[in-house]
Amino acid sequence: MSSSAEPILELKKVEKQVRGPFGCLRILKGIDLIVPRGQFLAVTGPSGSGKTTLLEILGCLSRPSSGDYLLGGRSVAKASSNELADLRASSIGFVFQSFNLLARLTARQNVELPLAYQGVPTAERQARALDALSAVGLESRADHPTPAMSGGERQRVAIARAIVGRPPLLLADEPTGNLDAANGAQILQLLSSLPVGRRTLIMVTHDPQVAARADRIMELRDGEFVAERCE
Amino acid sequence: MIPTLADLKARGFPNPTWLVLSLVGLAVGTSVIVILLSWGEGLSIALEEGTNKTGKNLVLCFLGRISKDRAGPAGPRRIWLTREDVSFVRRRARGIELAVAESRAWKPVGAGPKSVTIDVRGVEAAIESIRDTRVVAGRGISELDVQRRAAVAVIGSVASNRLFGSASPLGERIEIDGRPFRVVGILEDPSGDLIRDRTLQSEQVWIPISTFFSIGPRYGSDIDIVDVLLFRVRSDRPYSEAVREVRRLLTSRLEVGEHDRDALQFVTALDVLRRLPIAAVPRFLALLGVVAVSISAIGVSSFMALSVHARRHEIALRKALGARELRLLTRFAAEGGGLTLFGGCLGLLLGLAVCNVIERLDTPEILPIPVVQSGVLMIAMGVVALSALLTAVVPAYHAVRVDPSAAFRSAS
Ligand SMILES: Nc1ncnc2c1ncn2[C@@H]1O[C@H](COP(=O)(O)OP(=O)(O)OP(=O)(O)O)[C@@H](O)[C@H]1O
Ligand SMILES: [Mg+2]
Repeated sequence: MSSSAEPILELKKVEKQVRGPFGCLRILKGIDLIVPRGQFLAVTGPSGSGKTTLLEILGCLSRPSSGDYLLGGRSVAKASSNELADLRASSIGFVFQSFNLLARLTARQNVELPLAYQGVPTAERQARALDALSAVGLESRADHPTPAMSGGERQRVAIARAIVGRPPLLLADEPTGNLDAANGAQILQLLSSLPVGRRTLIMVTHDPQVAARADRIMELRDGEFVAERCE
Repeated sequence: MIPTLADLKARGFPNPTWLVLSLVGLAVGTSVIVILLSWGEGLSIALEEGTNKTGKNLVLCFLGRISKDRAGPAGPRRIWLTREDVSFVRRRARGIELAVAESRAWKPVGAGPKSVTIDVRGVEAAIESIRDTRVVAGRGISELDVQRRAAVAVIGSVASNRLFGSASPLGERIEIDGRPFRVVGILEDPSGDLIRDRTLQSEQVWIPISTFFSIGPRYGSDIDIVDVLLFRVRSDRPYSEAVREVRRLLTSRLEVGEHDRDALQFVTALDVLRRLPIAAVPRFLALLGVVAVSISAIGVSSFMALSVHARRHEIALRKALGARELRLLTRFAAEGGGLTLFGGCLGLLLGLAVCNVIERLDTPEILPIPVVQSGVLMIAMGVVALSALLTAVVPAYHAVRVDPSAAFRSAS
């Protein structure tokens, strides 16, 4: 475990509750977590245990109901929505199970989106998007519309989009969930080869073989960490 | 810049046909506002011109009865006005420039074997001036006619037609109440005769007021009774002040209460016209245009709300990728507001075009042409601007409310 480095993020007694039709639902029940920079952390657990909810908080897409979240040493639990948007643009890359590409844009335009929100000028945006696409081996498909691509290719475009802004933190929610074994393995290979140096990867997965590649595995059950294993 | 239906569909608009219908509604509603308001404006102007034709600054004073609650022990009495009272007003009232006495009665008028009942007016020479009319053939009633109680008559075209058919009445003999009169003039048909003072001028026969009195006593009294006092307010004097002055003079002279509305009734051409709601009708109808625009704006904004809903995954994704809320907000506000402005401007142009076409048409004089004034355009633009605001705020609000965490839960 490469815990010698200073942590990129820290969760302190993070709770998440939602008000549903049948009263208050506690999804996360006091999560404590410290993730060092550069770590590949796999989060496993049964369906409905709160994995995605945890990623949402880590990705600054929602705020914890209580507790504190430090990202890069800074508390973001009570940040404004603009501050969160800026944090997402500058520090976090997302890979989703369902790719989440905009169908009417080309691969390159999709990859450029986070740069646009960071205010990167157009010329630089295009160059960096092509860089990112070549990192996932899709340079030649840059100007193709994404709906015409295979699932594996689309997920590679999504990975290019996640890394194009060079965020220190990558969050992936079952990135192989919609892919067959071969494509899934390729994506996994790609992702686990990415967090070189100081890039941190947190991946939610059901697949024990995928988890086996991680530096550290944590199991979530009913909103609480129940087991931790380090490779 | 104008998006095609296919564009809209590709951009995730849920039902472009609906949008097109809403935009058509907006355009039509806006044009209806412009057209009807302008038409109403034209109508008011035509009415005002009509008032001027009827007699500028003309006030009619009718005599009535002292109201019961003001009458003394003798009970309500009828009050009279004589030519002396009229000269008194003429001499004393400083706010008026002309005062004319007129008497009127339905009389049997005969020409040869024919006999019809006609509204006969006993008039003074100044009647033409005060009613702002003239005699189109022959001559009018003169000062001398009044002094001499001349048996002369001036006849309106309709009355002439009833008595003489298409033949000219000039110089012909008629009988009023069995007394012989000679027709010396034919009255003009005022085209904009908007107040019908019992009858239209063309249906009347005018004779000297002194002759009128000599035909026979009326109301069972020997006093020569003036039925109407017509006066013209000096153009540099306020209307209501002059009317008040005459009222004061007459009430003190006739010993009736100054505020007795039954005893003295003042009617102005303007009052009569103002009481007519004609000019208000197009304005009221223009409200329907406002309603149409509002409904269409609601259509556009609910369309935009749906469109935001259809694109909520995209919005969530963009937020997840770091788009600030203001950026998305302005984008959707511009989209919704822009569509409405587009429809509204189309409607403005359409309305102006229709007004222009009507103006060029060879319409009969009775149909007023629309008059486009800047106020009308301002109103239409204001309505459009308000609608645009609505259609901008609604989608922006919905877009801001999209939860960015939906990016993880989309099933696309
Ligand atoms: N906004 C919400 N309102 C109500 N319930 C919610 C909400 N978000 C999550 N939940 C519930 O919280 C629980 C945890 O959800 P979450 O999506 O985090 O689970 P998960 O571990 O990612 O499951 P899966 O493996 O199926 O993706 C589930 O029972 C879910 O129904
Ligand atoms: Mg999940």
